[in-house]
Amino acid sequence: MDGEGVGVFGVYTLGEDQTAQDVLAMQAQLLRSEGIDPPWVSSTAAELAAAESLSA
Amino acid sequence: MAEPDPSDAERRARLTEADLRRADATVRLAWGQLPAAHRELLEEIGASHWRVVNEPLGSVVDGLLRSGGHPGLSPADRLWMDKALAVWIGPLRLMVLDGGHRLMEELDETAYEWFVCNNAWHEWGHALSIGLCSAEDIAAGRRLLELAPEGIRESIRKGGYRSSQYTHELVANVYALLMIRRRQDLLDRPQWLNEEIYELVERVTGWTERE
Repeated sequence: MDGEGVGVFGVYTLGEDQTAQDVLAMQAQLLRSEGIDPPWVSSTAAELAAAESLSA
Repeated sequence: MAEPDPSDAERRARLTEADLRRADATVRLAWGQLPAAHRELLEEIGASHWRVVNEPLGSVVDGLLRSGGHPGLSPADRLWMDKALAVWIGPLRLMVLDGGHRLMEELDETAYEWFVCNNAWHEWGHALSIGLCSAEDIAAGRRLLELAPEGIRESIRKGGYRSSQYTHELVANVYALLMIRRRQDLLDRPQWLNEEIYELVERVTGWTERE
């Protein structure tokens, strides 16, 4: 970004190869590292993941 | 300046007023979940307003600045902000959020809510802190970024920010994550967050571990 005074703007943008799912996955990983289930993971998906881990 | 992307314009044209109302209602939800002291502070400094639009934000921000009597954006800044999900416009004390951004497509209802809340909290993190980061804090941006969790660090690096923006982006990213934890009644320092960064966020946003 060029121009003066960039400090007065807060711009939230992602990289060209990033998606919303990438952001949520990154945040989910941090939350899981302290034992918190990310609230945006649906119960169905969580149940599937749990079932997969049991059958592994 | 690149020409507007016709496929993006066509996609946006298919969005309805209800889509934008949904985004606005989600930002309102995020606002209501901020700590009361932060809402009060933002209201006191005239920084509690937002606008949800369905246009690339560089053009929107440029137009708002010019109509408010401020210099517009440089062509490069405008192009860069066109890709943004949300922008805090310091001179106008206004947050604008792109409610028609392509990255918000194909999210299920729950993920959509959290992502839009995340974007709004990110910008209010800027609104609270941008004037309180010292020159030393900003100069420490590269070093602080190295202390950040890998996912946050990479996300900021990929965003095309200048190193002088690293501290601001780090604070805003962490603030949004602290808000996510707060919604689950977790108010302490996360174990994945470096203590120096946490103390910086506490100092410049007024984050506390109290309700």
